[in-house]
Amino acid sequence: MALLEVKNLSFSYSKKSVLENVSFTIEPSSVTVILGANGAGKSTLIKILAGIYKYQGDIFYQDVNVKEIKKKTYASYVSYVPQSPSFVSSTVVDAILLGRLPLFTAPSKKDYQRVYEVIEELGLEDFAMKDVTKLSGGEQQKVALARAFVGESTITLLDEPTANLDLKNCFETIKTLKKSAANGKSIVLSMHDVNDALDVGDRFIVLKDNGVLAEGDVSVLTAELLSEVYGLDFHKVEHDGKIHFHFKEDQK
Amino acid sequence: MRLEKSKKEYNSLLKRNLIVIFSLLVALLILIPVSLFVGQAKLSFLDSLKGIFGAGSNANVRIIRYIRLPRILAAVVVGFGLAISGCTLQSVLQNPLASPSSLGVSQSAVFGANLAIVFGAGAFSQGNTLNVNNPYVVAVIAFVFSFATVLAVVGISKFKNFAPVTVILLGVAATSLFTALTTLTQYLASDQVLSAAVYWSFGDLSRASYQKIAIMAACIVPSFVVFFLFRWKFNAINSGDEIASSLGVSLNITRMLALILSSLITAVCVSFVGVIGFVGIICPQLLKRFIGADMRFLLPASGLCGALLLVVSDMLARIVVSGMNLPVGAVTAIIGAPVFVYILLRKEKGYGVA
Repeated sequence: MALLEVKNLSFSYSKKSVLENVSFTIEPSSVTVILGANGAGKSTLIKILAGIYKYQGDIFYQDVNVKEIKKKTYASYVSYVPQSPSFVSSTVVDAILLGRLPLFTAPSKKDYQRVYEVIEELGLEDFAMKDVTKLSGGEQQKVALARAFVGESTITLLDEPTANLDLKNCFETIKTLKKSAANGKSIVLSMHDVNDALDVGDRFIVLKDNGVLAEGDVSVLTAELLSEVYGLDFHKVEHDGKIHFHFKEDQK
Repeated sequence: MRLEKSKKEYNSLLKRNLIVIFSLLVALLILIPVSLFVGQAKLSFLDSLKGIFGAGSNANVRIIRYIRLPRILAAVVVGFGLAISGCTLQSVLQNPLASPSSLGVSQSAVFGANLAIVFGAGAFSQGNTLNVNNPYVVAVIAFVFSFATVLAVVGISKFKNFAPVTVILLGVAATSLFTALTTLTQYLASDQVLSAAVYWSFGDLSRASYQKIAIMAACIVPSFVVFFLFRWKFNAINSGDEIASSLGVSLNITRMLALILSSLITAVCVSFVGVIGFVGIICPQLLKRFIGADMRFLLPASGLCGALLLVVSDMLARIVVSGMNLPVGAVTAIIGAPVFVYILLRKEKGYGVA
C-alpha cells in the first residue's frame, strides 16, 4: 500500500494553472525526488503535500482521503522544510521544539528528550543555545531539518533542501535524509540538479508542462527524458556502477 | 557532554525568564499600595491603610476607596489589557510596530464612542461632572468600529502584501479619517454633549468605577487566557505562515480570534477610560530585549509590564503638576513616542520601509 496517493491533483494560482491532473504515489521508507525545470511546479507540489495550499483532486494518506482528516492530524503525519527557512529570535532548542507544537500544554519531558535527541543526531550540540537567527544559512537549514524530524511525522517534505548549501553541508544533508529513509521515514524533496537527485533518490517524479512526465525508480531517468525536460542535450555516463548525466553546451 | 551543558543553560534560561515575570509581579504588588498614598490629598500611610478598611475620617475613606483605589485598579487592568493586545497584534501580524493605537483601532473606537454619545447614548450633567447615561451602548459601538478598522487595515495589507511599515501608514490613514469623522460628529453636537465627547477622548483613569473595572476585567482576563493557550500557535505564526500552516495551525481562525479579542480589549478600554496610547507598543518591545520573542514568556511579562507602566504613569500624572490630575494618556504618549521612534531606527531586523 502506498503511504500517500495523489489522484488527479490540480492547482492554479491567480487563474494560471500550475498543476493539472497530477497523479503519483509516495512509498513508505523511500526517498522520492521531484524533478523539473524552474516553474514546473515543484515547490507548489511540495507545499500542497505539506498541507499549506488548497487543491483540487484527491490525496489519500494510507487510503484515507486527506480532506477527511483534520488539519492538525494531517500536520502530525507530514513535516515540511521550506527552501529558505525563517525563524524568530530564539534558542535553537526552542526553534526545534516548535516542530512538536505542544499547543495548549507545556512541553513535556518527552518533547525535550526528542529535541535533544535530534540535536545530537544532526550534530547541532554546539549551537543548541545559540540564537537561531544569528546562525549561518547552512546551520539554519540543519535546524529546520531538526524541526521537521523532531515530531512523529511519517513523511518529511523538503523544498530544494540543498539549493543554498555548500558541498560539505549538502553531502551531510543527503546522508541524513538517506539514513532517516532507511529508518522508515518517507522523504519527498524537490531538486533541480539531476546528479544530486541520483545521489539521494530511490524514486523520481518528473514534472513538465503542469503534469507528471515520468514516475518510477532510476530506470525512468533517461537521457531523452531529461533532454525534453530541461531543453539540453543530455548524455548518460556510467562510472564505477554510478550513473551520471552530462549535457553538451551548444545544443537545441 | 556538550549537550549536557546546553541542557543546563536552557533550563537556566527558562528560570531567568520566569524570574523576570516574577519580578514584574512583585514590583506591581509593591507599587499598588505605594501609589495609594500618592496624590493631591496628603494622606499618611496609616490613613491610607485605615481608608482601605473603611476606618478613619469619612473624607479619607472616600478618597482611598472611591478615588484612588479604582483608579489604580483601572491602571492595572487597562495597562495589562492594552499590553497583551499589542503583544498579540505584533505576533499575529508579524509586525513589531502593530498596536491598538498605531493601527488606528483606538481612534476608530473613539469615533464609535463619540457617535454613540452624540446620537443616542447622550450625556447628562450631574452636579459639575458630565456623565454618559449608557456606557455599554458606547462600548459596543466602539467595538464595532474598532473591529471594522482592524479588519480593513489587515485585509488591505494582506491583499496588497504590504511591508510592516506600510501597514502602519495605513493605520495612520485610518487614524486621520476617524479623527476627522470625530470632529465632524462633535461639530454637530450641543455644547454640553460636545464637552462630554471631548472629555471622552482624553485617556483618563479617574472615570473608571468599580463596575466598569469589572467589565474591563471580564473582557481582558478571558482574552488573556485564550491568548496564553494560543502561545505556541503565535510562536508558530512568528516563524512564518507556511511553517505554521504545515504544523497544523489554522492561520485564519487564529488570526481572526486574536484580532477580535484585541479590538474588544481596545474598545472597552477606550470606552471606559479613553485613549491611552503606546502601552501596547512599548511593553512587548522592551521585554523582547530581555526575554526574547517566545510568547510563553513575552505575553504574561508584557501584560505585567503594561500594568506597571500605567500605574507609574498614573502616579506621575497625579504628582507632576501639583493641584492637577493630568490625563494619563498624555503621560504614556510622552514616554511612548520616543520608544516608537527607537524601534523604527533599530535596523537589525529590516522592517522594510514602504
